[in-house]
Amino acid sequence: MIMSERPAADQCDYIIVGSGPAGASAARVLAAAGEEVVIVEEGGPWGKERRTTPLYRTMKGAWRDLGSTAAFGSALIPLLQGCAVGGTSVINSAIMWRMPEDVIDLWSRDSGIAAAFSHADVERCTDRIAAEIPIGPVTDAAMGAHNTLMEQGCRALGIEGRRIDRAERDCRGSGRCLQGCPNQAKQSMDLNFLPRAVRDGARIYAHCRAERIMSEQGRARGLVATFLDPVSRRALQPLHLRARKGVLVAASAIQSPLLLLRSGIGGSSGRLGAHFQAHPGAGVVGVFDDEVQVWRGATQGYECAAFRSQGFKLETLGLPPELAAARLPGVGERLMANLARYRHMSVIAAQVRARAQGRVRLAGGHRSLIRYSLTDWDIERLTRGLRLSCEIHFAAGAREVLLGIHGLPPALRSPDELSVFDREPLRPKQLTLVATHHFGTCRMGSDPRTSVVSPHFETHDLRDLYVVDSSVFPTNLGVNPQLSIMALAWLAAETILQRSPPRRSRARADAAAAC
Amino acid sequence: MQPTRREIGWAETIFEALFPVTEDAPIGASEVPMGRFYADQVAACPALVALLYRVTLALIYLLMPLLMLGRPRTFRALSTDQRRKLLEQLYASRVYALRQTVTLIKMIAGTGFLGFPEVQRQFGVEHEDATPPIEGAP
Repeated sequence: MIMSERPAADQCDYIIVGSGPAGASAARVLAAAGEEVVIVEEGGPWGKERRTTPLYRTMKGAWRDLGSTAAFGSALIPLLQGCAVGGTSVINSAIMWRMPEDVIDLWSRDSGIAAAFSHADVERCTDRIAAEIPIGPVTDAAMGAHNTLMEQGCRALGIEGRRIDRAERDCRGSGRCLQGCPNQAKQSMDLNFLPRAVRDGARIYAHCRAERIMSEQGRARGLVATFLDPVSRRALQPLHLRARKGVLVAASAIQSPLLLLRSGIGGSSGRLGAHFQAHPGAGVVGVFDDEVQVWRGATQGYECAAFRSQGFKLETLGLPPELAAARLPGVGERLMANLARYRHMSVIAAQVRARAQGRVRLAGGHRSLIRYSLTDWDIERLTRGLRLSCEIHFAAGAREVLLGIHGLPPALRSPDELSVFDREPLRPKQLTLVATHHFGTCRMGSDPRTSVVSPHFETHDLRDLYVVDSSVFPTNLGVNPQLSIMALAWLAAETILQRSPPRRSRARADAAAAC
Repeated sequence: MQPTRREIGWAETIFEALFPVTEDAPIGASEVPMGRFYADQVAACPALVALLYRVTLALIYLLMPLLMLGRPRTFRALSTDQRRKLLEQLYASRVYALRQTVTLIKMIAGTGFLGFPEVQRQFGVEHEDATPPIEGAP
């Protein structure tokens, strides 16, 4: 599937930067329509043979910068991203949520997208994706005890929850989504849309980092990239790509603005890299009398989205042992005593549809500097979510709940002790936070003074340059974004095809896309 | 970027205090090749992150005994109890940056220590295809 040679130059109709859910979806549509597509991916293939147990090997081989990307501001917040053929879909939990209608309504009202597309258009693209990728709720066989406990806790409290819809086929509940599924049950992009695009003629250059976009006469016409050594990541040789029709950027809400900044493109509004948004979250650990074995069962198999309108969502997390030390309280003997109870633990995480907006800047070379500070509203919602997570743990029979919140007791032993959350507002620095979904840094809008990309996915500053990933989302979603990202990228590719019909006849292209 | 042998020794000492051998858990950081893991991790990290990691370990090893315990000596020269007390004080500090030094070490050393199959087994985690986090480790 991956090009084995490293040419000095190549040309095609469309260059796509990034092979994650956005880039793969766009490639799937364009290649099927008969366009000649080249995909440039900084990471390498993360095949079945490399999907072994230690998380560290995956962090080295398929996580961006060993998971060390972080936002600085009111607290240090790690921002997890994949860097592999298939992008973050290789290392995420494959959670699939359709684009909420209220989000499109909001974008129509505030960003002027209504003239370009509607929620029905997004739904149509989502249906097309769902017809090709199996999506369904976690089965009994894959649930595992930790997901079942949250299900029981929600039922006991009368809280509406559900088994998570995921992109998977025959999941055995190996609990290793973050390592890359060893059974290839998780339907990451390297298993479906990318091979399909390759069958339709697309070429993938892996271990190849996009450096800057080239333009001629006001149009994007190429890309300079660098082949990297797969092990040392040192630069090997440049690749000069020429695009007859356009360049699509789908490198994530962190990498896409960095590429545009390095290229000196897209900055006229002053909004490039601004409006960085996310779904920051934190978790609480329930300790049960019986063994839970949190490493077995779907990594994330149960969720409660009933509080999305209040700004937060709850979901299970099969915390791998390698990440347990950071999450469990104590050092030395106390930490080891807590680790000895790891098999009895279960984790519920609260993630917030945060109002905070930050900024992604270029910090020299390929490094980013990300500023992001949570608002009081965000922390208040997160506190509600964590409190409710504790209640669910207790309702499921937890003997105690480990909070991991500085300044609060390390453990609660009954629901009566939940009043610790009411004493005084928490501050971001008290929490151990992570943010996994990122948006907004090349925001879409009809006004070139306040946005980077038009509702037709083309940058306001340069023709034939398109941004098709979550960086164009004017806001965050309040739900897991992969399916929405894929649907928008699919829609973007269709929009591009309408503007510049493929060499093949329209009818033939439509027939190919429908296959 | 490769850490020096001295630096690896500092890291091993701190990791052993963070993950000690206990009655319930006889495999502590001293029982697995954490020094090799540290060297591998520093080499694999982006340069700036590796620098932050190394500076954090150096601060804990060289400076914190004086700052936190008032004892002008290295981390290694402290007794086992003093090492634990120092890490606990840092971890519970009201100063976020000090607290984060231990959180950072827990986070990154934990990905190694808890990745070794024998360590996972002692905490009840069994994987049929378990392999160590670094090549060539037993």
